[in-house]
Amino acid sequence: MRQFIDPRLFGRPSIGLALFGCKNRPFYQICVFPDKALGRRYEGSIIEQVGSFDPLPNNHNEKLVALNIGRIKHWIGERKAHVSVPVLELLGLSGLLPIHPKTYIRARERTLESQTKEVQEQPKD
Amino acid sequence: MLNTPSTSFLRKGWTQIGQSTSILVDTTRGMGRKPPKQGKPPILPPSKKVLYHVVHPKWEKPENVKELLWRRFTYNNAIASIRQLYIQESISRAATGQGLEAMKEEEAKELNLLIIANNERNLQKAKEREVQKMEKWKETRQEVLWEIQSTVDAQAETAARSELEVRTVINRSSDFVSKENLEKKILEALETPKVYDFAIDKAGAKLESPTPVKYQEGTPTVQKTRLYDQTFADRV
Repeated sequence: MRQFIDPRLFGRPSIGLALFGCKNRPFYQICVFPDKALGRRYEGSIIEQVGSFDPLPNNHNEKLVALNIGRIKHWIGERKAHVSVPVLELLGLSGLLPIHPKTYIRARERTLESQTKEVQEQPKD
Repeated sequence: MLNTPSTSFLRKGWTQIGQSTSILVDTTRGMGRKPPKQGKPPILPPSKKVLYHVVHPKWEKPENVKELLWRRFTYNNAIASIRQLYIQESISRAATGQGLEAMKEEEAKELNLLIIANNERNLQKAKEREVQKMEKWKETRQEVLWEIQSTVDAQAETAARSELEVRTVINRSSDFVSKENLEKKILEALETPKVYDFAIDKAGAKLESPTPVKYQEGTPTVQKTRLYDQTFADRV
């Protein structure tokens, strides 16, 4: 028999990025989704929005992130929410959690890339 | 030309058989041939379909993989302890009266206070509105009274004017023609006929044409045109 359940209280929620925005203008909301069994198919299945992330750099070359830290703490601590890697990276950079390993690796790769580029661009005497 | 033993003149693909004849051996098969339709002979395998785009992520460098392993372990451990930390934090907050329940209670209290304040404000506003309404009503009443006053005044003025007019007309009506004095008036008119068919010159003198007569004798002259400038009268 089918039973109605409250997606807010059922299973293990997950925190992830939900792509909003429009054509050529991505914009992410950091959202809490219900248990994987219930699916994260619709906008309506979002339990709570706990932040936002603008991936396009603005005039000051900043990618803006907004976080509701109190609520994120609640979902991570009390509700044991699963957090997706991109959100973990953002939380690491914000200082709420330790820096994510992938962030380290990516930073190093980028540094190496830029260094090699500099060496290539130097004029040969 | 074909009788010559040398074959150097032959075109490519042509073979000399006898002394005098040559035929085309190498056919031009395949030129201008379309690929056959699917399922028609010669049977060809169906073309490849691309159902979805498969993303092949770049492989991590081996040294990165090695580093990621220990970093991941430490990170996961840290996250596990941080989770515990957050749970304890929320428990301690609840104990010190800063938890969710306390916050909810506080919010409910605040909401009640806000509702009371809102009610008070509404009552105050209602009173103010009542006063304003009374003032507006008085103003409107005054306006209506003024309007009535002005209308009555205008009516009285019109009545006075009309009365004066009527009185003058009544005074003039002694000269009017009525049934009683009709005969008398007719005779009077016949005795003193008045002709308004005349012109005036610059000096204001009357110039009658034709000259009016008291009793018309014979047929009256038929007027063809009016001669305005009487100075031309002699010439005509």
